[in-house]
Amino acid sequence: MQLSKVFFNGILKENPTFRLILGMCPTLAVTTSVVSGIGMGIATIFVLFGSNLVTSLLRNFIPSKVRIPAYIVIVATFVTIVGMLMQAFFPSIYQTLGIFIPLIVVNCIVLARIEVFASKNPVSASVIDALGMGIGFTLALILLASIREILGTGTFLGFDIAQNSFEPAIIMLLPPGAFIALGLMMALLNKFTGRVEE
Amino acid sequence: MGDIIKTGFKLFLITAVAAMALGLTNAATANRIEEQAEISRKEAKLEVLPLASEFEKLDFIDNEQNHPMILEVHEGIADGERKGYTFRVLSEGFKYMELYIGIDLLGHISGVNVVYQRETPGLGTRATAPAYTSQFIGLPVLNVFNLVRIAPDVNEIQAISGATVSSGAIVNAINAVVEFYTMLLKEG
Repeated sequence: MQLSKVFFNGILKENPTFRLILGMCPTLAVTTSVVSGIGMGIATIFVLFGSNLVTSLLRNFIPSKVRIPAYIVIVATFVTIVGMLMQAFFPSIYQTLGIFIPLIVVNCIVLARIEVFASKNPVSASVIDALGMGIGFTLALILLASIREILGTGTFLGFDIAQNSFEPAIIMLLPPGAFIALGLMMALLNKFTGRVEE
Repeated sequence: MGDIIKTGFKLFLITAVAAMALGLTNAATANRIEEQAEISRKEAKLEVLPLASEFEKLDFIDNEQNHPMILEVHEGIADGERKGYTFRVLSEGFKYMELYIGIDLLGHISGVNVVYQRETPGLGTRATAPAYTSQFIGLPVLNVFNLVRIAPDVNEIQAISGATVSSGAIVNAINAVVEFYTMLLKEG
């Protein structure tokens, strides 16, 4: 298996947000500002990396009957560690992301990658898969968050770029705006990658 | 039977290692988290009452029953003189929220600073940002403030659209301080 292929697989071909449609809950929830999108993305990369690595190492040790509880324990451990580290070293980001950090435990991207990939592949490929998927997820979050922040508050990364040239549309910050932006992004991506079957 | 024991033991091993990893992380970060909290509490007091340099805690009898939202009151001091008061306030938005509010000697609000909140990122959090909380600075503490959805009049505060509950949590906290201050601290 080519490692570079595994890596880019997560970024475009099987992008967790736009292609696999996984992890919709955090995607819709945190993409109201670019900063929270980046914070969530990095936290998820760390959790994906840790849990893919450990699961791949233990793939012959974990009995298949109890694999789901074992996976949940591994993921929850990494999420709690991320939470503690963020609270200790990046308290402001931790404040912003609030409840969404503990909720990474049930982010289906993490569980899906463990079940589909890490439990069946060697450590090197699993780690690369985690990075590719994590970066793909982060890029998708940044893309969506940019659209929503610019249209919804008129700022980008907190800088005022609208300069009162237009009235920000609050709907873009609310859940409907998240669905609208996500749907349009998916449609555009499908158009340009020619994925839609005639 | 043997299979169940073997499986259970393996799962136990995994959870035991996980617990150990968590314990170690906690040991490594607990002090720092507490330090961060201590620093931010001190900074929060300074921010809402910039004139003061030291803070002394004031004790009030029956405070918990009569003013459940007011957690702590500090007297702000600089060069041995009283400069005002800071209040640590508990409020309720969608979740528990903690903020510091300062009142100077003239009876004006000198600062509002949200130190802990779990509001919806991007929506409710806007009510806790300085852009919203700074509008209270300099207002005289006379009456409680009303939250309105239209352009505000005297003693009225406009809610952020899409974040009415969170905006209300801030106003409630300020009103609790207004009541407390008027009853117990105001001179003359």
